[in-house]
Amino acid sequence: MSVTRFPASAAMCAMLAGGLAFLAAGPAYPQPPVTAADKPVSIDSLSGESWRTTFAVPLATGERETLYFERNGAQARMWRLDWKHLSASPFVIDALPLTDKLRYTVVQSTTGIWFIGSTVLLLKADGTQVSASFDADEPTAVALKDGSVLVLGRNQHNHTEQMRRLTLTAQGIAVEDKGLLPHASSGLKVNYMARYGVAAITLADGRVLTAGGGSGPDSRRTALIEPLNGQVQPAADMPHKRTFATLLALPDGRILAAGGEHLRCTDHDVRTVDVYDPKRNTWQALPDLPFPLCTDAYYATGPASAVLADGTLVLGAHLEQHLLALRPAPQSATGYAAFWEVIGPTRRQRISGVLQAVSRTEVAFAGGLHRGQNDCCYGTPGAELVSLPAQPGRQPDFTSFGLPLQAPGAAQRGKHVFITAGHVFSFTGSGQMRYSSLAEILDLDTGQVQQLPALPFVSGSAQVVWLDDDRVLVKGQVEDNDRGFSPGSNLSSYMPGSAGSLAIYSLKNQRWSNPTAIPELRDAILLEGHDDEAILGSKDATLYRLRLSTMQMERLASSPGKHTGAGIRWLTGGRAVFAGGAMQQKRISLIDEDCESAADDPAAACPEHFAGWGPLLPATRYQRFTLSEQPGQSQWSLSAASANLAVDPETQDTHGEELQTIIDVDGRVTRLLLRPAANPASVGQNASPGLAIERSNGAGSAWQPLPIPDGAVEFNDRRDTQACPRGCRLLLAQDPRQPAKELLFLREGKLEDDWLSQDYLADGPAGGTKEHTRQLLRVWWLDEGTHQWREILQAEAGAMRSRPLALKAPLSGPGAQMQSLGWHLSHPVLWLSR
Amino acid sequence: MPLPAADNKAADSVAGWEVGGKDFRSGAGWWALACERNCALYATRLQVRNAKHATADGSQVDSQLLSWSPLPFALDRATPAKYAADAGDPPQPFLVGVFKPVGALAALRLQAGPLQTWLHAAMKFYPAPDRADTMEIRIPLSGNQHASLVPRAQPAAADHIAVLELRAYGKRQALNGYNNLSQNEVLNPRQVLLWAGDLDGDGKLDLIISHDRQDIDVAVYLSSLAQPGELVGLAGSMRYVFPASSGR
Repeated sequence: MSVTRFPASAAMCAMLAGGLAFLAAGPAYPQPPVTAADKPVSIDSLSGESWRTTFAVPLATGERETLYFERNGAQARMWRLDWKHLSASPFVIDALPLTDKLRYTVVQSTTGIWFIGSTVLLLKADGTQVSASFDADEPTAVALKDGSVLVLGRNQHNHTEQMRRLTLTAQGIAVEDKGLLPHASSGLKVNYMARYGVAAITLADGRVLTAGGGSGPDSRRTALIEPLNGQVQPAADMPHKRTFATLLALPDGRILAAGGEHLRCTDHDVRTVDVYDPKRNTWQALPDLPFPLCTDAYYATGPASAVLADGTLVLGAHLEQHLLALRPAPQSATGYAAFWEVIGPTRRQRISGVLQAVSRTEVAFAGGLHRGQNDCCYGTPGAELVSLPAQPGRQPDFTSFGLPLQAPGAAQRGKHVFITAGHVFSFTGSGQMRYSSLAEILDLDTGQVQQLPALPFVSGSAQVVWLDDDRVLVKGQVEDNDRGFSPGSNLSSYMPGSAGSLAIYSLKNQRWSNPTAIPELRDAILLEGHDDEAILGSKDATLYRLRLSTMQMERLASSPGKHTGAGIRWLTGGRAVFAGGAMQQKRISLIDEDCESAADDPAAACPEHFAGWGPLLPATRYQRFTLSEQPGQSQWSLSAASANLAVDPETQDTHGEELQTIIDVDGRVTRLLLRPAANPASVGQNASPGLAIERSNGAGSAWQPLPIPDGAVEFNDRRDTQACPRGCRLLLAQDPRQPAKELLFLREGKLEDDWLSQDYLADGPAGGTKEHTRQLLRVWWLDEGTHQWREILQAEAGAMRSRPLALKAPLSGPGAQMQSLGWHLSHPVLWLSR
Repeated sequence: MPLPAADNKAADSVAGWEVGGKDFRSGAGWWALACERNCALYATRLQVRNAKHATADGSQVDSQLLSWSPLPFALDRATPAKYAADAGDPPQPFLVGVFKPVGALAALRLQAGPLQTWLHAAMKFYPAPDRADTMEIRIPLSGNQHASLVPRAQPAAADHIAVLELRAYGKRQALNGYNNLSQNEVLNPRQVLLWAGDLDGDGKLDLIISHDRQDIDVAVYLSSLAQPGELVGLAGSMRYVFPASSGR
């Protein structure tokens, strides 16, 4: 045993596993000895030095103090982070054995600070150090009321069957064996089994609550351990499965449990938060989280939690670069607000980092892991402060946490944009897709973002329409295919089953209607809504009308021919256009025997109706529909066929490939396509093979070629075909100068690829800064007067997702500047600023 | 009757046609309707040779080998529309068929030489109809008029064609007998309408229609045989199956 003096006068109290603490105020440590190499530095400076590695999870030791444990070769260095002065002071702990393999769990008790690993070292409050040999590797450990420590197992990632209690005696550190927790193979039928990923916390009465761990139904199990004698009693099962959960002691003695199921961020369990009442042995649910509190990453354990002095709960240290806060609301049934706010963004990703309340409105966020340039995971140095907004749920300066995601639902009404759902993917040990149910309203005039109660269902993408100034209708969107939501995505992920769900949000009432799931509308696209009615269309060219007050659905019309993968646009006057995908290119006249046999002149008396005919082939034509409220009087018609997407009538071979089809507000169809290299005769004279743009007229009777913007295409390596080297996409946006009109854009950049979403978000919602996400965004606008494209925007690809970007002349002029954001959306948002 | 495909081995070997039984007699009175750039009628003779053909479950039975001469071109150059080459190729000579008016049609006055023709299957293209997606065949007639042959289906069975409806001169007439086109195939006008012109010399539309895109099943409709309210009347039809083919 060795003893080293470490002067201190800290008043330390309740200690929790995983470095999470609910702490009483108190001065921390005196300034440690300073060497030339170990000068105090600013916390910012410490946090910017990515070479720093740690040997333990940081520890909150006082209201404004965090300890950060750095391994400097074989030397253990403890940095005291002073949040009052934003400085970090180093102190060397010579007696702690350290290699690049050794890690410690650090807990604080009334006796001092315990480092628990291959050695136990106690840094006492009076400044002395006591150590003893031990046998553990970053185990689960909790401080007990008498100043001792209960250690569960050897390592958090292994079974926790061995219970040991560490106490300080006159002879040094004593290790008491408190027996074995029953293992699953023991055959004992008790509630608690030794498992990996168990979370533990000391209750106010001195017992230790263990929660979850392992996998399957067992990860709902809880137990109460009497640490003095090692007795284990079952407690009420958690409502949800949790492994590597975060546990947090609330001021009233209850315990919050959140996060978990560390291998699947798509499980509903990781979106839930429950509170345990030890007196009643019951669990109570808090509102679901808008993002999964999921920490799956190499070397990660669980998420983190903290409670502010006013009772606000803060969760974080998951895969996203933000925190989640739930404010107290004494009048509500749960005692908390109706929804979790998203706060931040954090400057760095800190998976499995530590949260600590440092003031009424600030949270310290320390340590953790982050994804590197190409792989995961690396220790995140230092710590940072995250402030809660002064007004609950209100973020300034266009700080939307939903808009930068992939495929969020977004709809503009005047100067307001409603945003919800969306998803993000990253690879942090295993690929993890996360779905957002966050809802926000962005005010384009002020840049303020108001967060709203979370969408009451989880969908990776959504469609949004404003019903009026007060109500917004949201429908889950079906994934593009079984590999993801985004066109061309190749990600296999669990897909949430909410594509057929709908809910209405009332701004006035600040609440969502109960969600309604209509399985038949799973594939349908929300096209339009007003008053009590919504129009939806499915990709097989079927139209539906939905009565919103009753959620009764009526099938308005079905395509006379087979049509799959159709893009749909609902137009004024009860018209619709279905374009793109594959369809039967022919129709067959249907005999109306009743009418035709009775009429003297059947040609005049009997309207001719048709059914589809022919194989499903790439849609060279498109379908137009006009609704009539008279039964049987609605009309379908086919457009002229495109010459660039020719189908040989005899062989059925298709020439050319449709890349994208969009439909504008006037019913015109614009196609981005690849003209065939092998059959230039089919595309007309002087038409080189490769990328082409064509647009139909409003009547669908003819197609007109549109030029390609200069610089948008390059020849391929063989120099026989032209294509967009960085991908390109046609976009339509409402013209803010004439809201009944739309502007047509061509955007360069592969922004729809779900694989890239981790890169765009790597540095927070403000946008990515990585080399390969730079200079990807170029936008051209089609000047309808001259029929020429004009480049109106160049920006970094990450920045365009939620930052306002001014468009160049002639869209912007001396009187008014046209602003834009959301260039990754199907309809970017445009508005005028003066 | 139409002549079989050039790649029909049985026909190839005898430059003619093998039919079961002993019904045909050699002789004159036959007409060949052949098209290349234009169409014409040729007087021709039938030569019959007795033969035997195999049967699936027994001994050989009687058959006849039919061949016609003279013809405007060798049979191995006669390419029916269903085997027509790509549209970019030069027009292929096409023997629409050979026939002999008998019975009530014996009085039909036919004359060798060019024939008033509006469409024939040796053409590269048929003119595009007004409604291109409906698979109807537009037949340009004299004097800026036109007729249409419109495939139609019953609403309850819209996966097959019920009739071909002829629309001309303000009238409509359903022509029955078309079959064997699945919904996944698009009607090829040159495989259906082999010839449209004036065969009977009354200046009105006559048709030769193939009812089957695989087998030979052809009907000749003449305007001179139309009943009141009709546009055409069925003059004759011919369905041919190679007698030794199994399962027929």
